[in-house]
Amino acid sequence: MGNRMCSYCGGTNLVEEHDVLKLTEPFGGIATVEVIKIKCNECGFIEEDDRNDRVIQKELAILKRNSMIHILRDLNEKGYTNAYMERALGLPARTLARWKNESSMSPSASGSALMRFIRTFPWLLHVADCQFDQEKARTIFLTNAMTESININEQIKNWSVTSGAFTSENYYLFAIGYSRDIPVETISGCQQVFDNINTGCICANQ
Amino acid sequence: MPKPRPEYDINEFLTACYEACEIDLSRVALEIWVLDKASDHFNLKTKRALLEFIANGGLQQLEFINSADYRLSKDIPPSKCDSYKFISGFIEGYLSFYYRKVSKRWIIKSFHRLDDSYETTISLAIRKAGLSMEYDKRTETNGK
Repeated sequence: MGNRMCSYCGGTNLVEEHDVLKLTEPFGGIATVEVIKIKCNECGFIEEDDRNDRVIQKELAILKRNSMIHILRDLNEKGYTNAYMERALGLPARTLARWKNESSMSPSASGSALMRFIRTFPWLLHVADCQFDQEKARTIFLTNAMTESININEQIKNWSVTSGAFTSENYYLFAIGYSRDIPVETISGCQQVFDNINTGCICANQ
Repeated sequence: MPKPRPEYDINEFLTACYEACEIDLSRVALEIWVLDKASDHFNLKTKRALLEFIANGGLQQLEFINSADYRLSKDIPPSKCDSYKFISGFIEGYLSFYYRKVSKRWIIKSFHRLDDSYETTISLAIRKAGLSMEYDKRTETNGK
């Protein structure tokens, strides 16, 4: 074990033990790497071996590349073309294609983070398309939040959505209604909305 | 009860983490369970990533919890271990470490999301008074 010493007792009678470490990356899957633990035969203390970092980083780089490939494949399948995403995000042409296809070119950490956000919330592309205008971004966000709320429950996936906001002196009531066949007479009267449609609502003190 | 005081200067620990990243990674050691938790809870997957996070101001609102005997210590008297809580973004974390004069190295004992299993001054007092058998069993099982 060379000149190495135990971090606990300073002893030099050290042995290597092998262990398996599981690594995960969002959208990249799971991988395992063999890592080394250093055990001191004098005091029994076990610590991480500094050489593990290199092994872990190497495997993480592979997982990150896989992650980008999966993300771009998913987005492409959903109809978001690379050319569209590059234009909306202001990326140089063919950047995404290179990240996806060229094994010698790994995406940067910031590039990976950006595309993970886009994969999680593709409507951020719409926000980017609107030059990040704050009001438009809020409208896009709320519209997508409503749509997403339907997707939570498979049973009501094809139902229509109604929403309304009601204010009084002390309360702000925000209601989302999901309806199948019953026509909504009005969304201005709170009681009527609640009578006619199945409702989920959030009520918050002002 | 006197106000608990840290056994070590936290700035010396932070400097050691910085020097470990810049000069020699072995200046700070990790107990074997530390990296698993750092990876799961804070997305810090390598020793260098963890030490760089600490050295570059990652521990916000650092607050000392207590300085307690390290239960796995083989020394008499046992090593003192300083514990802190901190904030990082939306996560409240827990850090504990100690220094070994014999090897001149800092050792990180714990680095994980803060939960109710950490030892507060009150729980430490209860344990020392022998009033918490269950607490002892739990910590011995966890080994950390």
